[in-house]
Amino acid sequence: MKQIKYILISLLFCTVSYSLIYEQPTTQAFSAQVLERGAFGDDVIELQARLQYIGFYKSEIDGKFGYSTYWALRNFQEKYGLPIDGLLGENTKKKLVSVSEFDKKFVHEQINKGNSFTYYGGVDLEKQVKNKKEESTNMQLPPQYSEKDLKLIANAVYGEARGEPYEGQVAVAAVILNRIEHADFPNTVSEVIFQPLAFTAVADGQIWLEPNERAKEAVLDALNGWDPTENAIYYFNPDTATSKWIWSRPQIKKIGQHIFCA
Amino acid sequence: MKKIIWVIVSSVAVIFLMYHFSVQSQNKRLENALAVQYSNQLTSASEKLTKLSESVDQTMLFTDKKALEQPLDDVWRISSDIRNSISSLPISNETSAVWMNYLNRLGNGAVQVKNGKVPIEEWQKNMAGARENLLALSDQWAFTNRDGGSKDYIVKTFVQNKLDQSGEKNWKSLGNSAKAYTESDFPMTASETDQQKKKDLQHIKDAEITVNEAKQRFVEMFPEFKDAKIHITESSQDAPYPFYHIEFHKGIRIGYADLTKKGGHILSFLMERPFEKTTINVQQMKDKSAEYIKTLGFTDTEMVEFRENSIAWHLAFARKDKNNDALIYADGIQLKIAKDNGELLGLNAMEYIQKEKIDKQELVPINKEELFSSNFSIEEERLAYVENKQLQQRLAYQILARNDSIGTYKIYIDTENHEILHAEKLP
Repeated sequence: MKQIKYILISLLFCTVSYSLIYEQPTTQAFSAQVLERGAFGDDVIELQARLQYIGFYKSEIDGKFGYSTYWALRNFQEKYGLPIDGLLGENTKKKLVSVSEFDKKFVHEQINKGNSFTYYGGVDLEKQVKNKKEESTNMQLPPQYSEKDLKLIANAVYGEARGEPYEGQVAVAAVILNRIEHADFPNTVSEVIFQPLAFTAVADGQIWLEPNERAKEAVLDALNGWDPTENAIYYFNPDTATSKWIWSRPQIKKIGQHIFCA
Repeated sequence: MKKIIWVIVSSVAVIFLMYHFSVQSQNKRLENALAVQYSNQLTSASEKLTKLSESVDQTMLFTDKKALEQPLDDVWRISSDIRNSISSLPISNETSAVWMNYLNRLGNGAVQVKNGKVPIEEWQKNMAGARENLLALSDQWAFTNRDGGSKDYIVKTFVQNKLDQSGEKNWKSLGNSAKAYTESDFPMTASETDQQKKKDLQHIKDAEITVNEAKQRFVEMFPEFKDAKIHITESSQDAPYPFYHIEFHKGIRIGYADLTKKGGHILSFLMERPFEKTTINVQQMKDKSAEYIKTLGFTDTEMVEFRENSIAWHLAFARKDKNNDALIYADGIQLKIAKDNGELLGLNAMEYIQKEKIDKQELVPINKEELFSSNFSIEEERLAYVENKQLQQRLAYQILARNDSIGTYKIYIDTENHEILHAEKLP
């Protein structure tokens, strides 16, 4: 009798363990977050990779939940009879995990190396890695700006104002953007930044220094609309400025070492 | 005598060294000036190539002749502009000629389509490959400093080629070619035009508030900073509109808020602090943002987009017209919310302070099948107010059009005269 009891308990234990082990890949693959358009990060990388594995997603696997990912997810939901809402909820995750594969090591390795790659199922992974792509800032930006804009402005901000408070760094980025909008200045980021004698960092070569995350975050805030300068188009350091002309500009406010002017 | 010789030799050596270092430093400055010049030309060409690719994309959107006019004109104009940029780059004649011909064909093709000599369908079929080529070259020429903080490798090569060609004796002529970057001819002129919305802040009619009232207003809006160190300064007398600049500091939090002097309206608020690695979920973030919007009094707005990044979400809101639910993008606000705990890190309400005047406008239905290329499917439609070229707010059909290869576009079409006011590619 005792033996039967042990056998039953062992069987029950095995069944529970098996069901747990069997269920794990479907629920533990993604985090518990419900993802939607605008999201960013590792869960989005997995979503894009899995969708690409089964042929629904054809764009770059970059961890940014934009419209390409959104339409691919909706198409997947439609094909598998799920509610078509473009949200990656629990049911969609389970279905997606059950019909696709995700080699996390391979995918993250390519992203970390900055490689251009795809992740289609049934194709040799090595054949899907192409040349190194251009540098990416890995940030989601308002539609009117590109990663190239962010990169160049961040270089200028870091070269010009890396010792300034955060507000002062956002302010320098805002001045560059205000100039683009201004009739007296060129219309593109590069033309504004490289305009002769416009920025000290360009003249002395500091424009080529690699910007830190703080400078990039400051630029991101400026691209999203923050302008601590209240519409300034010039700034100068009163301790080091040699131009008399700059003192004739209408001053707006001082942030850190810089005076911002209209 | 020995001493005199020693003094003479030493003096000559010092003079020689000083001369040598002065020449070296001058050469270094010129080398930098050249690098800047080439960087400018390359980055500018890269930006134009992206713009050209966007214009090519827009020619794929429509079949309607009138709607196609502007993007086809843009293709012709920008391709011609880039040809000028490329001709000034020190790339090999062969490469230059290949790209000049390619861009020439592209520009001429656009003119032929516009004049009805080539059917739009044929153009759209050929352009799928062209846009890829343009983007690839644009990426290749984009500004970069990936080589451990040194100059872009393409720029370095250009500078080296130029130096090798010229030889050290010709530094003077190199100096002349780069003179635009070393002369003191400051080309900037006085500001005449500001962005309209910011300019209008001069015309606020509300009563002025005092420094104490500004502090009180700030604490009402952000009560968590009531015991922060607060320093308030007034904008300079020459500022286009008067405001108070409030700097605050509390523990790990440091930031600023600007309030208009007239009426004490919040212009912007931004804060910095260290961040934890934890992340609240999207629903929690939305709940938090709804709470902030309500507390700060922006209840007539609707969230139009949000973007997650490594430490925060950036959210954009637009005012909603009471009569037709149309979004008024010009009356927008932006929030920045921390990912680790949902704290409000930033608010930008400068555009919201003075609301746009909205005129009544007729809604004439559009035939989307005639207007749009069959390659695109129409996914969503709603009403929104956007600016036309004359800076007037116009009621528009906001249409979301999708093509899986080309991308997703938001197109604004005037509801009355069906003018394409704006087409924007969405990420």
